[in-house]
Amino acid sequence: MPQEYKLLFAGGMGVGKTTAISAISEIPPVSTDVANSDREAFDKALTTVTLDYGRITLPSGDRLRLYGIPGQNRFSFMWGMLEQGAMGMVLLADASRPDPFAELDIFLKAFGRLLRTGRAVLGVGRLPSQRGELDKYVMRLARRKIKIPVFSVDVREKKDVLLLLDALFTQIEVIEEDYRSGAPSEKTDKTHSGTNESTV
Amino acid sequence: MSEARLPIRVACSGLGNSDAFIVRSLLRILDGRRGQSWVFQEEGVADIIITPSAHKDTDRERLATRRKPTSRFIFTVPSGVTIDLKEGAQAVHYPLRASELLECFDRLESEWPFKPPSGVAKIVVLQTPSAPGPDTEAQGQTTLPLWSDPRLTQAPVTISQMPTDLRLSQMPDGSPLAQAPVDPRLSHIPEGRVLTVGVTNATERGVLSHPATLGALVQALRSLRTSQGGERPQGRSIDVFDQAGWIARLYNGRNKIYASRRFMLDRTAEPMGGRLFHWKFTLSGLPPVVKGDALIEVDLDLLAWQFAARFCYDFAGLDLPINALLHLRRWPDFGVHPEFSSRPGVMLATALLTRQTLSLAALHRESETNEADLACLLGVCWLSDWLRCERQMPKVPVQRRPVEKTGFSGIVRSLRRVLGLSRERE
Repeated sequence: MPQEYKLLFAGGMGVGKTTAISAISEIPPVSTDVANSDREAFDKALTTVTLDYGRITLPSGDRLRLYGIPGQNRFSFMWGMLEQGAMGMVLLADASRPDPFAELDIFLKAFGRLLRTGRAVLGVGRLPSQRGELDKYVMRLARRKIKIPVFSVDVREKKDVLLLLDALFTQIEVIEEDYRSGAPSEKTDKTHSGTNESTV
Repeated sequence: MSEARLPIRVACSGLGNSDAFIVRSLLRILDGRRGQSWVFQEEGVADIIITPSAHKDTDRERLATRRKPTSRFIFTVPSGVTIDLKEGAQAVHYPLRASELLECFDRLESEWPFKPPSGVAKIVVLQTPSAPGPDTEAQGQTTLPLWSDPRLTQAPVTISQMPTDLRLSQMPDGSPLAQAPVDPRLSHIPEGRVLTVGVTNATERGVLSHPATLGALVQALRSLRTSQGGERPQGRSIDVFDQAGWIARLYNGRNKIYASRRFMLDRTAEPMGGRLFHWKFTLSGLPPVVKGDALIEVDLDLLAWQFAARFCYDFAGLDLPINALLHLRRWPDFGVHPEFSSRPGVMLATALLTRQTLSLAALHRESETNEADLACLLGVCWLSDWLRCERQMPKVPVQRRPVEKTGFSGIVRSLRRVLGLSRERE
């Protein structure tokens, strides 16, 4: 029986979640875009509320559902459901935002359990040229005991999206290898096997 | 095996050691990233021969032993000189630039396997001006490691964008250095296109750039980062020679690297080369010789990458303790080096090292990364102070965890195939 899996794309407004999902989804992303009522904060005509949705169907019939999760707190009641059973998360940040770390912290707090398993990757876009900017993100994660790949990316480039996924998949494979070898590893969430039905 | 499946063998003839080193390094970087395999051919006949457009008689004799009827030539041509290229021949400017060489390789790869040209494949010989000769090292002169000269250990140095980048204004004892002419081979390179790190030594013929100086520079940064708990230094002055002992260990028994007289970073060839200019620093904390805007900003992470890509190509060169256990504190930013992360096993080796503590042998075995790529990865991480190296403890029985599948490995394999991220070897 075909199985359903979930992969989450999370990040604040305008980080490129929809773009990243578009890069790999077999269907045009189903977005719940509305007119942006906060043009002062972010100059973008449309913004996503609730969710983006994309999909990849595998030859076996299994499906990977791609969910883009925006950072509006009023929809935080959904986050737990999305996290449950998710195979991993692509977290995105926009360094050009006035306070990118505050936006990031929302997700680090909400999805800390999944992130601490290591089945996640952080892509930071629009990094300023000053040195050490990416290190700040690495240290931000480290303070929450999150150790995941952190790359500077431009998710408008498909190759950068694939780079993030490659790293995420490698993390997942190595975590499984940890179990097999009994080698030291981070604490791993054990409630994430594939499900026959998506929980969302 | 058909010839099309054989690697394309590239040789240098009549060029200096540093040029051969550049070509060899470039091929090493290319290996595995192209449809066709490329190798550097030290001896014997080659499929592609890179050679000066003007030859000495001795070079011509040497060249005759390396060519075959189907060999193609890439001629190095001094700026401003035009030559008539015969069928199939290519030309690049001298000094060599990676971008131009890559373009030549692209063109030649599309013609592989080579057929004998219909015309006569003769070497184009120009009388004037003469092509650059081999490096001084190749001519028998000796370049000593800089740190062996006690006068240099406290010398004020400055990096600028000019070809004579790292310059000694005077010796620590106050004795002035005579003005040295700019090496004519560098004079035609557009300003800012080449970063040369080295020392202008007035007693020699112009620029005496030394890659070891760069290594010392990177090591100095590494020590600073260590002392600041991983934070990067901001506007700190560093003494590049203070930490030079590390570079001596790295190059233990490898005198050949001293033949490289300059460290080229072509911003055209290296899209991220622009990042070199992001950080301003002054070495040794003494007043810079070149003031104001002439100081460049250098991203030392990129220098670490460049350095490792060029010099860390085998495990012996890493000088790691035998049986040491390795662990990586964080991932390198593969976003700026996606081409490196896409090499077989590199991503896996990184993930393994960030989650486990492994010996070099185990890491090599588990990741199936080739030695050069793994050495480069470890070199970058070592230079950036992300690699922990611990003495291996005596083996004790390990209580193994129960095997428990995460349930995602199967779908990951399928997804890799669908998205073109398969790591299965062809």
